Amino acid sequence: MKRGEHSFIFGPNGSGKSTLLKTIMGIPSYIVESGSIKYNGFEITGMNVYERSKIGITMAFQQPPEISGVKLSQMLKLCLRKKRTDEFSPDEKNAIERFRLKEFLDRDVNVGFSSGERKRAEILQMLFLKPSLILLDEPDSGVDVDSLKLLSEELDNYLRTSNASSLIITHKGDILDYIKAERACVVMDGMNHCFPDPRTVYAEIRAGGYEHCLSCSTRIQEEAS
Amino acid sequence: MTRESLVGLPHRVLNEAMRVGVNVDESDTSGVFFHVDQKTIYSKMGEAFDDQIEMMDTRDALEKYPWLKERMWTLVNMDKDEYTREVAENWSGGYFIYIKPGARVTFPLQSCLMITAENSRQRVHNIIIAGEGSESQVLTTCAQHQEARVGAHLGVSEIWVEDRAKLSYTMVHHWSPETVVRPRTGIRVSDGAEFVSNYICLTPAKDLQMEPKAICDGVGSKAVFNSVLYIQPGSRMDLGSWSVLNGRGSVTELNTRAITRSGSHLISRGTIDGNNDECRGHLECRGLLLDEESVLEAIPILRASKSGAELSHEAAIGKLSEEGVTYLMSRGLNKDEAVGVLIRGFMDISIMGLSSGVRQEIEKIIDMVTMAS
Repeated sequence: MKRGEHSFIFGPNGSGKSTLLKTIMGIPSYIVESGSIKYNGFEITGMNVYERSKIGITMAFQQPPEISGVKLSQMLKLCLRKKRTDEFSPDEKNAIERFRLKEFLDRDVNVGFSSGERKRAEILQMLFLKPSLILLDEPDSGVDVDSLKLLSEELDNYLRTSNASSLIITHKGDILDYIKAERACVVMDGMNHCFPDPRTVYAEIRAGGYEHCLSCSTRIQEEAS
Repeated sequence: MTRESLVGLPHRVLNEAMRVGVNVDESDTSGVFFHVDQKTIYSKMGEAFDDQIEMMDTRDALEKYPWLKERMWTLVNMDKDEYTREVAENWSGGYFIYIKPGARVTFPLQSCLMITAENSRQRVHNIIIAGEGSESQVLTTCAQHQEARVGAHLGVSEIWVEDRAKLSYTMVHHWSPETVVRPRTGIRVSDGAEFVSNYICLTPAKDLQMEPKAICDGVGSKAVFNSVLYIQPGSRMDLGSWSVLNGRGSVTELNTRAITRSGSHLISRGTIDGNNDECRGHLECRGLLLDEESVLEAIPILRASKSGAELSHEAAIGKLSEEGVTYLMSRGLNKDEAVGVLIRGFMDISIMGLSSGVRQEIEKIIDMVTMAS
């Protein structure tokens, strides 16, 4: 991927989409058995999740854990490198209000949050970290129409103004309306089939399912060769 | 003999008190009491609370109120063990706090019992009477001066929470690795009264054993015991709380959060006796083991003598969530910082329902200890 480039990841359940993102993030239970991961020209395969976070890679988890005793306000301040006693700046307060999270600030992170609330909290944390590579695991699942619009517009705004790159897993495809991605990757049978136009790929998948997508991919490759 | 002002206290006492988190700013408290080694050296009420509370050394209280003699040793058995007998035979005072009927004490009463002399055995007898319909908070810190390595603290405390009174009693222990600690506490909770104990122990002690016992005799009486324990290297602690529900509609909650590390050993006990058909009690213990060298035992006991008693317990012991550590690391925290945040979160005291003043004090103490370790 080039800097500032965005890709959607499609694929059937269990094909390894989330595994791909977690491996890039460096989640400890995901081991790279062969190959390597390079970021900005540097080999990062041996880096832990903290080190990858420090070089600008961040991930919004599909099912983030509940962190008892840690309030959302503290978590957001950790992302902003602020002390617990520091105040949020006016811009930060504004973002918290836009994400409709003000009333959650004194609640334990993700404890009792609905699916949509978790998504909003995840993406705000991620944006506060100011990453250069965003990994999003199904940001459009379990969110209502208004939340999807809000999250997508916020993400789009950040991606456009920061020149950050993104890898976004989606099943529903709703987010395609908001984020202009250059490429689509279809993860199937352990292979990554990349195509230039996410909308066309998504339409093909909707029309003929993933099997059709695979045969189409094979045909394109044969034609190319 | 007591000083006129806190400024008159020896610097080494005052500095140590501040180091362990005692609030020595008298404007934030309704009264301050200091008992150092074998002597009460300071006892003063804020003027605004003079007509609402009395606070003095227990020996002085016995002279002022002869009836007190009849009450003493009725909630703790003098012959309970060698420690109670030792206090009965040779004691050096302690605090007597009388919250008058109907009093509303908005600022906490701050007491500090400190050992400063090496090999000292401190033997105190404390009395609290929360008068009918009163509402108050007592914040007690028991500490050993860092220059006095070896010592023993034997403390008998008897607490009466009279009809419809509410008493929040927060005790912070701050011992040294060579201190032997034996508190012996009895509480009686009367009709419609509420007693909340918050116990915080975050520093080491060689050997600490206690099990305060609340007798809820009153109709609709309530006793809550919250404990936050961070058991430090080399410490052996046997800590519990015990509620006896005799009154109709009496209720109790026992909540413990405990962390053991680096070869420490904790026995966390909780006992509820349900002796009334309309009583209710719940006991919860959550424990966290930070390594393989420590031991944490949770011993819940529910004992019902009436079929209508509703008693329950939950106990869970485990390790720090690796998923949580990874999650925080993905937010830019290194592993030590992530573990620190999770430990601090585990010791969340928001469940205790403390007033904001006391809560801030306790938060400050927990921050100091978790950052230092």
